[in-house]
Amino acid sequence: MALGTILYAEDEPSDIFFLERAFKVTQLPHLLKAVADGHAALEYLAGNGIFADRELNPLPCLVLLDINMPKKSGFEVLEWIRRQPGLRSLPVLMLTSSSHDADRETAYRLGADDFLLKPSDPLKLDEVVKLIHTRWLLPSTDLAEA
Amino acid sequence: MKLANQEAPTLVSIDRRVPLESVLCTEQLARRPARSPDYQMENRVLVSLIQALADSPPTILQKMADEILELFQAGSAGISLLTQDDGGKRFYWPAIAGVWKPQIGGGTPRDFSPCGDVLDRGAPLLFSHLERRYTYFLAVAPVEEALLVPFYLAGKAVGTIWVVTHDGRHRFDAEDLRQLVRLGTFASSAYRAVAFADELQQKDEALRHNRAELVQSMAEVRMASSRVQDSRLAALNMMEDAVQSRDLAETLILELRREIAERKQVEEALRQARDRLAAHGVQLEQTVAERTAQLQETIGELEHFSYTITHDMRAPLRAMQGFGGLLLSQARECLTPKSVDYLNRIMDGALRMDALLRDSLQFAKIVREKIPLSRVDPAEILSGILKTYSALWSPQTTIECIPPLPPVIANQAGLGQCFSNLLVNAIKFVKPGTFPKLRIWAEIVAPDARPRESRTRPGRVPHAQPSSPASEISSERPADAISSAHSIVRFWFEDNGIGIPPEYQDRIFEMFQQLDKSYEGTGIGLALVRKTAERMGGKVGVESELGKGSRFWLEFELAPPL
Repeated sequence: MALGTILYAEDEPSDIFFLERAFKVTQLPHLLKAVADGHAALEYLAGNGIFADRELNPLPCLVLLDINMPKKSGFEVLEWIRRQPGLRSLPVLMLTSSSHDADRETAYRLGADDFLLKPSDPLKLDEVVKLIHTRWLLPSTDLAEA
Repeated sequence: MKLANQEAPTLVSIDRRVPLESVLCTEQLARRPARSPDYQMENRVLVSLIQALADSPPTILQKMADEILELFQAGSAGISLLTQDDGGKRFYWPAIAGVWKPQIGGGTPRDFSPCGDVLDRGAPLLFSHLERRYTYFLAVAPVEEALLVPFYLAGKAVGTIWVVTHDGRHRFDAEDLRQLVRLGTFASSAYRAVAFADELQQKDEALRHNRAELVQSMAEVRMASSRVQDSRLAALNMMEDAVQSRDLAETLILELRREIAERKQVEEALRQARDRLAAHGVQLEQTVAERTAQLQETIGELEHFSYTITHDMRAPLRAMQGFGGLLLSQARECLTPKSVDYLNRIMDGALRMDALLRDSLQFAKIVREKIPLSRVDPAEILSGILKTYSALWSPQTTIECIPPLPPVIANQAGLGQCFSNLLVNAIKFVKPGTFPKLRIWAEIVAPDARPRESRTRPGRVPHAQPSSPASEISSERPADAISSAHSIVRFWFEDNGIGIPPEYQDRIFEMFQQLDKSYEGTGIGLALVRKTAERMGGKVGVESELGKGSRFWLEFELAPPL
């Protein structure tokens, strides 16, 4: 059973495929909900249109954003999220192939919680997923350890 | 004693005076015996007088008195003249001969004297014992008879000529009277002549005097005139000078005006040139601004392009590699060995393509982004690389680092990039079966001593702390402003690799130049090293022989002592 939902905005289907695979491989119990562009991400989070049913499309506990997407970029989605009163504390991670310092700076400035690079070999996404799990999905453990 | 200057004998009362008629006996002359005129004697006297007049005119009166005395055989003879200075109140005696001669200069009053009587009557008079009436003669000498005739000058009676006897031996007669009148007339003429001569002489003297004065005046006038002439000449000279000065001044003024006009022209030309220059400057600035805007637009497009490469081109490569990997792991038993080989080639191609894109992006990043310079410790960077790069950990690989590695002015990440690229290259390009051996050291070189010229042999590790030049280095200085006056640190990377033929040693630092395709690589690594080194004010080069290894070097400015 899923512990929570993770929203992944990504226009590249193979990247979605490999991330879903990495979730399975790492046996992450979370539900991965993928949308194909920035606009769809906004609709999902707002519960509009096809995403109105919160039973099928529950609010995520974590958002993964690609930067360069059709309709709305990852930065625009990030900005929008940070403007919503109910979503301010929602963890948002950028998952991108851009190693530009400028992109990293922009992401943190707009309120991103992490900036993760897509590995050249998609099969190595397992490590990224493990990192996400350790850093963002086990806060209670960290607190317990603290 | 003298009678002349004595006043009239006022002691004698006028009432007691003897009357004039009682002492006159003039009418007796006609009654006395006549005698014939002695002209010979008269002529002799006249000649004598004329002679005297010719010889010495002033003595003529005295001469006449002397001649009369002798001619008349008398006791005294003389001339009385009215004084002129007091308006004729007295008679004076200018000339006397005979007994009364000592009385010369003396005289008698006009209104009470025999002479006065003669002038009053206007006629000759003969007196007999005149001292009876004119008692003042008693003091001089007794007078028997006295004959007096008027003496005229220019028709006017001014005195008398007289002759006197002091005893009774001689009595005057008509002939005496005639002669005395004649002599009186002559004397008058003579006197006039003398007076005229005197006057003439006086006039002559006056004339002479005047003439002298005139001469003097003329001389003075001449001198004055000369002075005037001189002054005039001087004035003329001064005027000439003044005119010359004025001409000179006018010339100078004209020249000055011309110069001022020229200067104004030059200034105007300068001003116009400045204006044109300013206009050009403004135009140039506009052009520069436009070009800069265009360039920035282009750069923006290029950045967008590289961004697109990063994202959109690498995603399919990831898919190729990912799915290939899945196929190999999950469906291996279904694949023939040939199929596996093909699949590996596809995945390898995708991997290389991704590396190529990654390196290209890195190169573009180095070119585009600012690289801040500061003091960097090479030893720290090197040890960091050795810890991080697992590719360098092979047990067959020997890496020898010979300290010290002096601090340089560079960028931490940039220098790390250069070092790691050279290190990875050094152990990569070895003949199969050869154990990579790498030596790293540094030397401080004088500016402008380039390795290709100096042919510095490796193995030598010269390192001396630099003296003054290094202390001038400022870490804030831009990378491309490094002065040749500063000391340079050169890092050497010596390997035992395959080496590089001399003819290719320049090309290896250019983009996509791979000498040997049998070695894995993108052909960007050394271009990246060179670009990064240059952006940090440094240089890179190589010394190598084919088959004998290579010595790469990196140069950076020595950091000043802390």
